[in-house]
Amino acid sequence: MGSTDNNNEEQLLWDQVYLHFGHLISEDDFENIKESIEGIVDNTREIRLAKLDHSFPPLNTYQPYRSQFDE
Amino acid sequence: MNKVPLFESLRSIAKDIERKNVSPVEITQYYLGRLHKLGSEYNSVVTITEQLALDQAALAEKEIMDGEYKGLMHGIPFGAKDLLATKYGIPTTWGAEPFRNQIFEYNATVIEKLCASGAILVAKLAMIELAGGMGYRQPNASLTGPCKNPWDKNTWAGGSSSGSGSAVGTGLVPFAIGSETWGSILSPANNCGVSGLRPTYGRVSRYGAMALSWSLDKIGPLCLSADDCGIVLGHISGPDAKDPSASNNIYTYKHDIPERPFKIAVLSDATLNADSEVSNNFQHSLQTLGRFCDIEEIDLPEYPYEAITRTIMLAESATIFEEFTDTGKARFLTAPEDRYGPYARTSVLAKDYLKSIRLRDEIAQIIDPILSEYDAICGPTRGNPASPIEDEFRGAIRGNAKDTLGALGNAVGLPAISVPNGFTQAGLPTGIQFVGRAYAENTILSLANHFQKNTEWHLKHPSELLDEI
Repeated sequence: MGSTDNNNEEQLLWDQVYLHFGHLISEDDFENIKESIEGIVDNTREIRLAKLDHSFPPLNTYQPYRSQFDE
Repeated sequence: MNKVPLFESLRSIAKDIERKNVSPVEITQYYLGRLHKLGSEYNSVVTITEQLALDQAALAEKEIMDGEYKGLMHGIPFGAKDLLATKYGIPTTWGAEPFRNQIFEYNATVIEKLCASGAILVAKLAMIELAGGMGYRQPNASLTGPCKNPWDKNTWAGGSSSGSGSAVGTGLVPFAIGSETWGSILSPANNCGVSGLRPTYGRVSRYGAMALSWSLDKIGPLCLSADDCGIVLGHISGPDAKDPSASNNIYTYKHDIPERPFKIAVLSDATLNADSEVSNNFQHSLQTLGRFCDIEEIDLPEYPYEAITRTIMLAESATIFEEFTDTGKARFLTAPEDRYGPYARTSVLAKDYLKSIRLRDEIAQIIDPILSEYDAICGPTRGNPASPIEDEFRGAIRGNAKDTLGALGNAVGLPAISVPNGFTQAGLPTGIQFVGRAYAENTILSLANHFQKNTEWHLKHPSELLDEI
């Protein structure tokens, strides 16, 4: 992902944060939150670049009733 | 009192109690006195639980006089990080102003277990607000102010279990309970020159503990030695029907593992970003370890360990503190960065969180065969000693120092112990950590015990605190 895409993502994420929490956030903190979002986008870029080994099964932890039916 | 228990090992205090050389009431009064005298000076205490402690001590004394000695914990005072719920009308503040008057109707399982063993709760200890989960960057991110270092009050005790580390290091309690999501036991252990054990994920029930990140949070002891850590772990671990994540494995602390050559690994970049004094102390420690360990240098498989752990913590804390965030309570937190931190993290995308979880699962499978070749991977606990109490200690999101072992160990829930391994020129302690396989606490405790039998760093205490002996 290029820097322009990153900037777009940061802007979109900020729009979403502002939409939900704009009424709670002090205007003085707008730039601080944008900086934090920038850090989160940088962070997740590392996650997105990491290659999953698909020989591992995907997570399947949703088995809410298994123990009852195993009995 | 026949003998002052200050900076004595748990075994030594327990022996004196069992032999009736000292009474639980005398010991409790002694530590209550120190808590009153020094607690506020170091900002390490939230609540001194005086009446509860005196009641518990009187009961312990009666039981012991009646011949009902329960074991090593009986009659020994302790402090608990103030994220562990306590009943009896004692507040549980989570270190945060919005929760200053929070009262629970029940005890955390860890508190229940210790009290059932006869231990005496003397204090709820200071912590970084909400266990540091809101992105704090400064020591003054706590309801009780910046927690001070036993070795230099102008430096920080570390966090988020700040009070637990400081109170043990200043001799306000014989041992304390802390918690770690990422670094919150090992950092104060490093800064305060004490021993801190982060147990395997699931080893200790978290019922009644504030949740920050449910797949990362662990509870463990901070003590004066590795042996003390093992003793405490033996009393707080085990299954708990109230916490489905608590393992059914029964843990028994074995401190008498026969001496044999250990085999440890050191990451090739272990000291890459470390201060020169931290690096020097680590090299000296490796020389000591070389007397009873085979040491090999290794590289870990390439993964974005820190990004994975950070993404999981941000996403899970965003949902745990959803109501807190939605209702604008963050504006009442102490540190300015904590007042806006909760909002930014709501922007972590589900796909990034889920990929982080899948990567973690993959790492857990890959790392265990590597760890099985060794008794532990070791490295400096932190890349630097305690920082000045007025200074910010990391960047906004990413932090300053690389912490591969901390990120890996916390992501997949591996146990680790930090013990003191020297001092800087300025007289601040540094630490060495041993990270082991899941559920191999006895192995890393044995290693740390051997290290402490060959060194005296854990026996050193700030001289101004020894005056009363």
